[in-house]
Amino acid sequence: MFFNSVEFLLFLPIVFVIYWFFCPKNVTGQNIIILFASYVFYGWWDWRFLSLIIFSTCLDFFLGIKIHSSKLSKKKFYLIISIACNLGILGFFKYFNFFTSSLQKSFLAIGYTFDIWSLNVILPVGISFYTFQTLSYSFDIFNNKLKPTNDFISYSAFVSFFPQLVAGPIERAKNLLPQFLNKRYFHSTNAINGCSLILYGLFKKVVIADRLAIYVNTVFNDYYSYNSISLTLAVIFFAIQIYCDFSGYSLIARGTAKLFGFELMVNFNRPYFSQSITEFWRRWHISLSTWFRDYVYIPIGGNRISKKRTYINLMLVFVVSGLWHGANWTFVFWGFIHGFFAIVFLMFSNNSKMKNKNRFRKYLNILLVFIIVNFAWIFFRSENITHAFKYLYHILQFDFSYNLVEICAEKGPLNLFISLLSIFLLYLSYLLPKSLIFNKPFKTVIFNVVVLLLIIVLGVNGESEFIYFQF
Amino acid sequence: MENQSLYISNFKYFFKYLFFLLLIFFTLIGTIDLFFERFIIFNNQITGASKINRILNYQYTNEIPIFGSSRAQGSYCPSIIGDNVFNYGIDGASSNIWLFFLEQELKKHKKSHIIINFDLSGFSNYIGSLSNYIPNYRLTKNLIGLNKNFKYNITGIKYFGYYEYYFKSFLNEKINLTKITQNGGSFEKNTLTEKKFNKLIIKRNYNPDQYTINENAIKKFENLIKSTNRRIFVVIAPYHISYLNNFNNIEAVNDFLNKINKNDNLNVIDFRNEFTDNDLFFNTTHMNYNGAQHFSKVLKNKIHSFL
Repeated sequence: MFFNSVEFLLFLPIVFVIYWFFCPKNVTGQNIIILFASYVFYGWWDWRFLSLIIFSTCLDFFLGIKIHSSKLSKKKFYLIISIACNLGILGFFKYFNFFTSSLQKSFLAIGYTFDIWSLNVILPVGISFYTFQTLSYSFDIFNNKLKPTNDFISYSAFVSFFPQLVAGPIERAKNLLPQFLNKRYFHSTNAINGCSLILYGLFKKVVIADRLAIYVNTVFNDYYSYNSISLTLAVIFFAIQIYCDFSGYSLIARGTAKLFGFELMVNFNRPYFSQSITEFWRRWHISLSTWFRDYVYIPIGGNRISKKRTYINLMLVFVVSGLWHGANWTFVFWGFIHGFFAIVFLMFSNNSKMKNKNRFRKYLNILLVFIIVNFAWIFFRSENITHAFKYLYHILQFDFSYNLVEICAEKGPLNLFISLLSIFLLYLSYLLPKSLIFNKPFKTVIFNVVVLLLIIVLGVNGESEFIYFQF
Repeated sequence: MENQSLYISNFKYFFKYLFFLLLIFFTLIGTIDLFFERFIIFNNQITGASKINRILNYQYTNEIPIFGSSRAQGSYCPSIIGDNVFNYGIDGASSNIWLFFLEQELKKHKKSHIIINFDLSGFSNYIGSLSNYIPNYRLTKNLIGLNKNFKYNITGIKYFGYYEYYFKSFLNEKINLTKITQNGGSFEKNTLTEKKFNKLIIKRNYNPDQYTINENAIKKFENLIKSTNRRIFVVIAPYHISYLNNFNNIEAVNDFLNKINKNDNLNVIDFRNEFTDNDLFFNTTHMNYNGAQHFSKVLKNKIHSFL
């Protein structure tokens, strides 16, 4: 079930009414409704894969208790079981085909062919997200940052909480689980703010991301027919498309959670205004980057060791985070580019004594980071590495010849105009309070009415999937 | 007790907020929809929606209609073909739609002749964009097979995703930035680059087309021809040579055209391979404005020779 579908439009109010008006007014009752709704939400896509969530939930629930109650050597043993099982399932469903085909190609390159056992494995939606969420639970218990819960229903509801089940934010047990252990009360101001977040998220998805996707998909699918202007524009559009698509999803998730009395973490913080790659990752997909920071980067030494090792650690984390996105070398390369430039920025900032107080330099840095991030997006968006390099090659032909049909990617000047207008609207929305909490009620009403009108009038019809669902 | 009343007052406030939000929204969107229908959708001649509205609700006694798909819309210049000619061609629509138009036209008390652009792909059931039917949804829902989709009846939702299409057509007619428009016709002003056009030819070589037979549609067409005394011209507008070279069952089309040509009130005018210059085409199946002008002049003379 997509957030931008008619099914969800009906599902949400039904669950809302049952949750607040018809369920027993206690924690267990509320959590049972959430759990049931979450399983319906997920099962709508494919009920067979519910078994994976249930297995993952049971496994980490019991291992969490075992980790907490055992001595150090046993603790480690249970943690390793948790890691092996979770990453084993994730690895099988997400990377099995990738590794077998890569192995086959590698042997083919040295002139040796063989038939390898292959399976047509379907990637269960959201597996990367809930696996990381359950893993964080085990890690936090192991590190004595969290006590395990004995309430299985609450824990199950925490793992499968439908607003963030399929595309995050990847919540930490430390933040979200206590909310499941306490009774929720309805607060109209929170709920109204939730509505604003949902509408703003839908606006980002339906008005901006889906609009830009029209241009981006046309150009990327037929890159050899376009000149440097269209190709460059398509990359910039993709940068904004993926941002609006994913941050839109996160906003809808946060807004929906608020309607049920929960607070989810902020996942994006205007990332394209970053002045360095490391800052970009403090603003982009914050729940994932902090996950990698806390559970991978810091445990392997972080920056408390030699510079050389710090750089290696940094690169390792970026490459792994690239691989997390998908089983394709394009994502690995994308992670590598980010890692490489993060190291460059780190080296530069270590050597530079000048602080960025100069406004011109600040804007220059923002532009530089934007260009690097866009360069990396080419790899992220391409079908394969060859596609990405060919795309780059065509951009570097520096063909700036004017042809209106080509510049508009054969979609007409109006589509291009609305695409640019939607980016301008995004910029205008940045002038509003980040939390979308307005000081006067009528401002909230005006904001929501305007956003609703923009969705209906400028929105692209099609119920297109969120990009991050595939990860 | 205090908690309970606070709980209820919170919900009251929330639902009151939702009520006012939706009230304001529907009032505004309803106004926008009215404005759009009056000043944008029906205030131009090239959208399918305005053409359907015109054929259903207006009677122009001397009008000579041209029916067909986007090939009709982009190849026939009404002002060149004659006075009172109107182009009813709809992008993406196929025989089921022009048969509907013909049916509506023949209900009118008129004597003028009728031009039908016939596509070699024959009789199929493509309807084009839904936006063509939404403003007259109740009258066309059976035609497009969307009987159960109630959302097209609801103000505020029915045009979601289609405003751009209407506005684009409106601008195309008023500004003529990328298209030249006249009396329902809409012609490609721009040309593709040679590279892009050659790519389309290569693509066509891998995607041959064929004539599709639909006995019910053919029967309906034959019955409509027999039901009127009005002269009907079935015209095959020019195709690029690459299209004709990649057509599987051309004999079947020829048989059908020979058969209908035997009707006293019908003439088949075949221009399928009359124009060979690439500069006259926008792609392998559609002419550009230059091509449409050339073709319309020749067609005008041909029609006059029959009258």
